[in-house]
Parts: sequence; structure tokens; C-alpha cells
Amino acid sequence: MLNVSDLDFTYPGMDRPAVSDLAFEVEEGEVFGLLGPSGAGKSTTQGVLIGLLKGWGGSVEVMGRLLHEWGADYYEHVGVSFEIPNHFLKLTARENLDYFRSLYSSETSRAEEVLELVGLADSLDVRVSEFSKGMKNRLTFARSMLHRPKLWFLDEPTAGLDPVNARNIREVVRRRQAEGATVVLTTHNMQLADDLCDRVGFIVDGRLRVIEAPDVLKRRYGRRAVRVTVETATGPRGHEFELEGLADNADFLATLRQPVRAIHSEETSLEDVFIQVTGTQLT
Amino acid sequence: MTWLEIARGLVVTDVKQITRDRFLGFVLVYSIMLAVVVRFAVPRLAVVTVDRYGVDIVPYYSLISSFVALTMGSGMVGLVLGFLLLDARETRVIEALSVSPVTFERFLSYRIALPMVVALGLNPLCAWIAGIGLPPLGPMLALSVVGVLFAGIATLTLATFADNKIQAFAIMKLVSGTSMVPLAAYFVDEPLQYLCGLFPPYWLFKAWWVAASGGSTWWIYAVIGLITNTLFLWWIKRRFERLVHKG
Repeated sequence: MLNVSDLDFTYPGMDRPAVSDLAFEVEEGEVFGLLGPSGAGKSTTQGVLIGLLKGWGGSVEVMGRLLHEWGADYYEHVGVSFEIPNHFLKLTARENLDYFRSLYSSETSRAEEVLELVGLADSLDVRVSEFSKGMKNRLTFARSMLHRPKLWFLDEPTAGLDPVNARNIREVVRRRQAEGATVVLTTHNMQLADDLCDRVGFIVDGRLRVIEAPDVLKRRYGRRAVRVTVETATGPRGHEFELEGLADNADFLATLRQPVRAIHSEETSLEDVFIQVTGTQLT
Repeated sequence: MTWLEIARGLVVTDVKQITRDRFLGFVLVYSIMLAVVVRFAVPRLAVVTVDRYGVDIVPYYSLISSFVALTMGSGMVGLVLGFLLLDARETRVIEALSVSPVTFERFLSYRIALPMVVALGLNPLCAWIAGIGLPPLGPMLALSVVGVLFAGIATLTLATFADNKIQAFAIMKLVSGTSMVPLAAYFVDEPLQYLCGLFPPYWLFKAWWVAASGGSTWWIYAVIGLITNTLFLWWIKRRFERLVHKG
């Protein structure tokens, strides 16, 4: 679906490239996450892939054609949900979506349909200038899927959303993936990436440090152990056991016969893996 | 997606935005209101100035009509659509359109073309309503057509040099003011008045004055006006493109 090699981009007037020697592939139907702290080069990479940034070096092939060979028809197949909402503020949500629907020659979803998916059905005829930031974000997300894009770029799609709406968004992405959409997710939210992505790429200072499935990374960099905390006369006490041979571990089984307060997996989080791999904190 | 389909959707959106903003709606009809005032007030004023002060303003009718026909309508419609372009820049709607089948290049072409198309009707309409100091029909229509370039210039000037609505109002006054500067050339003899040629509208004003006084060389000034206004439009379009791509 997407094949990037030796991608370089330097903003005009800057000495250092914003991204350098980037190479990755995204398979059809995959959710691929580009993860990194602010200023790492995620948005620059997305800017190149969606055709907003010009003057880059390297090779980008999308849906079997080089990016520069695509014309306006590229956007019949590609959807983009921006991190910063961008709407006609004087128009209602319906008018905004109907306008964008009119731009596509392929079949599009109705405004009501996509707004229902993001929990904005009752704000259909409200002017966007009256929307909160979270509502505008959800409208941006809804607009990006109007034409059912084959390749869907999502930039921080849950930023500024409450947990319920953030979960809704995740479910919509999973549903679209099941229907065949390929997703490139740009985020510094490791929990979101862990939930949604089949593979992730860690990007720091414009370079990709690792590309792998989240589970593989967590296994590789995490500790395969459980921590059992039991109540004792002197207070809570923790015991750690390796996962290997856990069912036959007599100490583990004996510990379970005591009053158990909590059992926690010692599996590492994607955020911890990121810090270990890149030596960089996520901000 | 054809050009016509794209333009139709954008026009509907523009009309909704303008009609929901009293200020923009007012600015759009302002030029017609002013032309009406010129038609009915100026001839009466001419009578008063002769009777009371012995000053005849009739020889200056072509000066007044040149402003009404060439820059007032174009300028006003250009500024209104400049506000919409600035709005699209501020709200980043340009980005959203750039990743749709409209694309940035098509959107910008439309945004520059629309004020010029509106001015194509508005310029001769304002001249006809004002009805004083007009050149013969041929030169009048030809100069009205070239005058539409000023609409595109006004749109891009406002959207390029203003970063927000407050600055936009200052730019609006600046555009209105500088479009009147070359009118001063009317009171200055040649060749000194050619200094006003640094302001592109001057050449069209000059062509209008020459045609209105029955001169035959008006077309030379019209051609120079066409070239200078086109070059200025091209330069400011490049500036706007750089601004958007940088930001």
C-alpha cells in the first residue's frame, strides 16, 4: 500500500533535515503507527505522504504509483484527519460535511451517518463556531472518512477527547480496518498506539529507530514475570515469579494460597520500550 | 471532478459565509450604494458649487467615474473575498481543501478568479449607475475588464499581509487609500504624473481620462495597465503561495 525509502526533508531556511533516511512499508489493511515526541518528524513525514510538503528527497510509492505521479485523484483514495481542527466556522457541521462530500466523485457517506459514529448526531445543524475543541476534533475525524478512504492518515485522532469519545474513535478505526482500510497513525499517545497498531515505528530526531509489532517490542524489552502481593501480619509483601514454568512453580502456588492483595504482570509498557530504545522521554 | 463542479460548491459555501456576516455583506453592496450616491448627489453638488462658490466640478467628473468604475467595485469585492481567504488561512481550511480533490492550486485559482468574475459585472454596473464622466462604450467596457485585475490584487493583498482580522481592517484601509493615490495624477502635468505609474491602477485611470476626453491613445495606457497589474497580481500570488507553504 505504502512504500517509503530514503525519505529526506529539510524545511526552507533550516540547516538540519526534519526527517532523514526514513524507510518503511505499510501493508494493505494494516494500522501502522509513527510514534515519537513533539518535533520528532512525525507530522513532517505525514505532510510529505499527504502531499502538503514539496521538495523532499527519496522515493514514496502509494498504491502502486510514485507519489509525484498522482494528481488530484490521489485524494479520492486518501483521507486525512488533522491534529488541529480546520473547518468553515460560519457553516454548520452538516454544511461543512456536505460541502466536502460534493468534492468526491466516488460514493460518500451521509453527514448524519459519520456524525453518528463520532457522537455528534445532535449537533448536525449547529454552527462549528459554537463547537468545543473536542467536538471540532471529532468533526475533523468524521470528515476524513466521508469518502471511505483506502489509505487513512490520522494525526493524534484522540487528542483533547474524553475517555468515552476516545474509545469511540478507536472502535471506528478498528471497524474501518476490518472493512479493509489501511491506516497510518501519527501520535505520541503510546496507549492509543498499543491498542490500535499492528506495527509501530519509533521516530526521534527525524530518524526511525525501530519498526516492530507492539507485542514483539514489549516481549523483547519487557520482563516476563508476575508480581503477587499478599497480606501478611506485618503488612503487604510482594513476590515476583518468572512466567517460564509458572504452572509448576511451587513457590508461586504456595503464595497464591495466602491472602492475595493483587497480581500484576511485569510486562513493560510501550512507553517504557520507547524510552529504552530511543533514550528519549515522550513529551 | 470538473472545474465547474468545484466552483459551484465553493460559490455556495462563499455565499453562505458572506450572508452570515453583516460586515462582509455590507462591504459588498457598498460600491453600488456609492455609485448611486455619485449619480444623484454629484450633479446636484455641481450646481451648488457653481452657484455658491463659482467652482465648476463638471471637468472632474471623469476623475470621479474612473475611481467608481475601475477600483471601487473591484476593490470592495476583492477585499470581501480577501477576508474569506484570510479566514481559510487562519482556520487552516486551506489544508483541508489541499488534501481533497480541490487541491491548493485549484482553490487558490478559484479564490483569485471569483472576485475578478464578480468585478467583471460590477465594474461596468457601477460606471453605468454613476453615469457621469464616462468614456465611449468601447473603451469603458475594455477598461472595466482590465480593472478586474485589481479585485484579485485586493484579495491577495489582504490575505497575504494580514495575519488576523484586526490587521485585515488596517490592510483594508491601506488598499482603499493606495488605490486613490494615483488619482492625484489628475492634478499633475506630464511627465511628472508618470511617477504615479508606480501604482498599477494609475495606468487604467489615465486610460479612462484620455478616453473620456475623446483622446485616441487611451489603449496604450490600457495595455501598460494590463501588464503592470498582471505582473503585480503574479508577484503577490507567489508571495501568498510561499506564505502558505511555509506555514
